[in-house]
Amino acid sequence: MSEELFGNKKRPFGVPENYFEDFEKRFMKKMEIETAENAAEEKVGSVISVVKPWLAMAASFVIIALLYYQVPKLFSADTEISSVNSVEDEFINSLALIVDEEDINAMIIAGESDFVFAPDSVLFGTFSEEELAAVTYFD
Amino acid sequence: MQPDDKKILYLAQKANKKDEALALLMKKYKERLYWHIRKMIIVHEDADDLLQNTFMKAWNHIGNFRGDASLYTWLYRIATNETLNYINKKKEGLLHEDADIETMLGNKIETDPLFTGDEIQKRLQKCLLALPEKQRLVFNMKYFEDMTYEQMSEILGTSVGALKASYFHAVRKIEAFIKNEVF
Repeated sequence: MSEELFGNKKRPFGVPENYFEDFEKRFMKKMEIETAENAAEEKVGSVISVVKPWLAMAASFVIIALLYYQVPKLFSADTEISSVNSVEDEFINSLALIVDEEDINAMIIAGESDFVFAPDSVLFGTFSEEELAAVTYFD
Repeated sequence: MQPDDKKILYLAQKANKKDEALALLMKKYKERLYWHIRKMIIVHEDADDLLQNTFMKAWNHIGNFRGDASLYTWLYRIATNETLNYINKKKEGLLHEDADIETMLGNKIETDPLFTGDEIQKRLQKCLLALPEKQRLVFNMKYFEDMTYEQMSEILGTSVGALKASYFHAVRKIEAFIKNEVF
């Protein structure tokens, strides 16, 4: 290997004054800073690791509470209808024991007869009797 | 007199002697590792950061050091990995800036007040920057540090044959650059 071609093997770089002498001091300083930073990160990490199970437990209680209050509400409409129906049925059954069947039919007819038919429907309100008779198809 | 590796490792295991072990470790290896890194990185400030990171990593993992390789080989391996990772990251960062690390470091050699070499050495450094990292590394270790291929093989985890081929290619390329006055 020709040193004439590649130059001498002496390093072509220099370092600032006292670089190697002060290296340990600077390194120790850097290490202290990094150790302090790591300790701070670990502290945050340890706080999270302590709080995490408690947060999980609180969250599970909230979910249980929500299930406890919300699930019955989801089925509450059906419950009311069924309870109303059962109350109506019970009422009719108890009524049937004390009232005669004919009386019940009479009551129903009387109830139906209370229904009042409107004299003219809204649709045919503007038509005369003759016009209605003309458009009405009799089979 | 340089402290013995066995003594450093022994002290590193003792809780109350750890600082002493670290001081001995740095005293023994800081200069060698610094030059190993600096020749690859060129910039003093970056070499300083990488040297500190090397010692930091070594110190944090010295408890896991099994002694399969010598302390010297292990430290060189850490320093080499740190250096190559740094270069790769720098290259990735420069991809978006339409610049390349070789040109940047070449310019640094021209202007760096800490570059103390002559014109031939300056030309060699610029030629080296044009080589792939592995070839540059092998050339530096062989030419400047006079390492044996066996030592290099242990540090780089590459076979002796592959290292010889790398060095051969590096020398041929540099010769061609110089003869053709590329730099």
